[in-house]
Amino acid sequence: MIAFESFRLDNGLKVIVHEDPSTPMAVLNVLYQVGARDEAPDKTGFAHLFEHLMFEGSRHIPQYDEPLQQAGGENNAFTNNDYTNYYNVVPAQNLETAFWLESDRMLDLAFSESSLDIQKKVVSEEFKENYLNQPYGDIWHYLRELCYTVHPYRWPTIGLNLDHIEKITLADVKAFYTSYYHPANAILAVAGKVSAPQVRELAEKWFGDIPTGPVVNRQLPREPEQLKARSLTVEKEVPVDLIMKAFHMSDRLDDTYYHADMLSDILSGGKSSRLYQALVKDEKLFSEVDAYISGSLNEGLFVIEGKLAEGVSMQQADEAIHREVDQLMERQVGERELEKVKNKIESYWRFSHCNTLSNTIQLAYWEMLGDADMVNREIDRYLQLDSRDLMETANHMFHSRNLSTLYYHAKN
Amino acid sequence: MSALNRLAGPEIKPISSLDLPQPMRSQLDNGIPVFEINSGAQEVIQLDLIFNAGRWFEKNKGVSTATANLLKEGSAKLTAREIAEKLDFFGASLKPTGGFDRSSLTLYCTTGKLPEILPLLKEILTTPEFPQPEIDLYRKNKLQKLKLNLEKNDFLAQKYFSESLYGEDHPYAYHTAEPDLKALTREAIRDHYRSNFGFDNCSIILSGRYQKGALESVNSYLGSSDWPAKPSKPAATPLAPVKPPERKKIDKKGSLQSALMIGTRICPKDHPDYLPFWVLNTLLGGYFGSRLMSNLREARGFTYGVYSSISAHVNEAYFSIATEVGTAVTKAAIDEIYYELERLEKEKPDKGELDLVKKYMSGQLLTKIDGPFNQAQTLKGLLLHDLDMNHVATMLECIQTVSRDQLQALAAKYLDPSKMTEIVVG
Repeated sequence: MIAFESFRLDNGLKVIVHEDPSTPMAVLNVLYQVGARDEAPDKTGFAHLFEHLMFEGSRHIPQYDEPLQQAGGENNAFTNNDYTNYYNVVPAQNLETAFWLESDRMLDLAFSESSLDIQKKVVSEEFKENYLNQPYGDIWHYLRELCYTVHPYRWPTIGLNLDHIEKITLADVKAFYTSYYHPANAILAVAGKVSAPQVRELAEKWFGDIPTGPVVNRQLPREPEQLKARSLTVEKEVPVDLIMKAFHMSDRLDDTYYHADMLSDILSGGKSSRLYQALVKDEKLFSEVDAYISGSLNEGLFVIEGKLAEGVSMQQADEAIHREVDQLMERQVGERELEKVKNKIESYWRFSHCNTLSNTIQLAYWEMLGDADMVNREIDRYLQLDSRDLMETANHMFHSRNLSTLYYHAKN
Repeated sequence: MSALNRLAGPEIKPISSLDLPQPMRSQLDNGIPVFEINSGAQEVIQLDLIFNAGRWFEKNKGVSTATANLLKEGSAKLTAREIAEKLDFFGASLKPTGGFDRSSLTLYCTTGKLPEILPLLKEILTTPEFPQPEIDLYRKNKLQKLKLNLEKNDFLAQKYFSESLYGEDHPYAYHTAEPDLKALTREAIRDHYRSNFGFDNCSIILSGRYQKGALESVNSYLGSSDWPAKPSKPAATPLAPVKPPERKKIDKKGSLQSALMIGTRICPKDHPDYLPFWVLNTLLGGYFGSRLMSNLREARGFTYGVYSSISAHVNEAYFSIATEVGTAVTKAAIDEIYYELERLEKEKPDKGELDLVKKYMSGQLLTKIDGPFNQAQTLKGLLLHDLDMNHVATMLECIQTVSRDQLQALAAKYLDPSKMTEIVVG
């Protein structure tokens, strides 16, 4: 149970406090409700580039990292398709330094051509390091474009290509900041060796006078229902063939989200799971195989991906995956198997609540979705499921019209 | 209320001392030392079983990693599948690690399930079968991973770098290749198991939140003396002679980036230079505000990241700088790295810069003792070098007392550019 208090400042900033006196640290986390889904289709990768610029100084502070390091702290950030999250982990006695830093860059970020230029280069190296110069690094570029035709999930957070990042101007940066980086579009979560009254006072002191900004009126195109199976074949310099299959699934808060997540665990959670036992161990068709959900806020994806064992054809791999998926549609998951997966989920859930930083991020995430207390209650949505729910969702999701397949061949 | 001074910022309070947690020390009936860290808010347990059974102690290449990984793939009474099924049903996971000096088996489970899992753990530890089909599958999948790794520039740079430092066959350096995997026999694996996985070669860390009975349960299953393995240690591998530094460039067609590794062997962990050198390493490339990161990433945009680090094995340690840079700037990046090494040697760091590093490092020490699992992780690292938690206080003391002169002298002693081994791939 993660106990917390929450309140809202007059400028619209939501604040959540979780007291945990057992740690010597304090975490200050700010989540901005903006991600790659909010980008223009010809300037993808922008939200992530912007995240880099948030460390280049603000009106009163020339550089973000140094004062935090002086305080003995560490910080970082991540961007995904839905939101951007910044966190600071500091010795609890220096919590206020993090308040000072985070509030100043929400108040007034410093912009300059030179830092934009440098960070474009850094992001371009990041793009090369993780996506281009890496075997299989571009699979999500292909898969997203195959699965989504209009929804902005069709591009990954890093961006569609290097040219898009190159095109971004300082004027774009300023407009983006004004639209999204303000109190009413942010959630502040503070946890660790802190007290709620202390956090309330510090939040008022440092964030209270930041002017609020325009309400974000997000109108994302809804992805039209997929009417027939799609596939894409590519050939690349990689050591072995890879296959990736994706089915459209529900939004994050839908009941069937939990069904889909549990179906992915039935398929590949742990070494006793169906795909590992059947396809890796018994039939030796794959060296690795995995099923998972994309976890995005809007229409997500249910993905099955595997690397083929030597001498196995794409067709064999394809058929084997379909056999396993068909079983989920035709037969209910047995009681013991269901209990096993629930035990695993519960255990995983408890371990994932052991760390103050991840608890803080979770609280901010759930607050964004409307209710921070879901961090404590979400587990029940898994534990309440039964086999009929799973089979129903499997039948709804796993039909061939809803399927996109990426055949990623190794050259020669 | 006075107007907010956003220019100055809040006063920073230094970390002057640490509230060091002390693990409870005891032993099982058979003498296995146990370190208990009983804290945390969630009813979960991490049980580490650590054996001196890493590469240092093996007779054939690849055998220590294979043994650790195959331990849970079949026992006298249970098939690999049955073991996996039981572990998953308990919501538990059992993670093997084959390391340079040690191998370990780590159990993660909810506290309530521990008593039910322990008989299974004992079965796995004391009656592994290493069935041939499991060995075959392990080899096959490992070979495929190997092929994949050989496509990665950073992996290749690491491989050539460690081989260059220690020699291709040294346990701290060798790279498991296809012939090694093909030569891996069941007999060699069984032999490695029998010579290393005995109770008198094991230590245990029990961390998480649990009742007193947990240790008794552990003792009733793992505290007996009927383990079949009887450790008999092979003669220690001689330390590799220090080789002259090598500079190597491996071309890889189509690369968008070059992977660089530059570094050298340094003193072992028990040498008086080691801790001050650790501070020097942080200043140079051990954190985001470091000289290398400021220069190569923040001033020039050559790379997404550049770090320097120290890898300390039991008998040896080395220092290395690693990064991936755009191929158009490979030479410029290497020049900047040497420039930074020379600068350390030529001039002592500013007082302000060293103060910053000291404050940063002191604060980061707190994360080493934050919560039961970080403490277990820290302790595991310390036990490798026969140290205990008090060493964290020694680290703080070194951070607080190390001087600018000392750092300059250490740079001259260890980081002279002419002593560096340099690998460029791509």
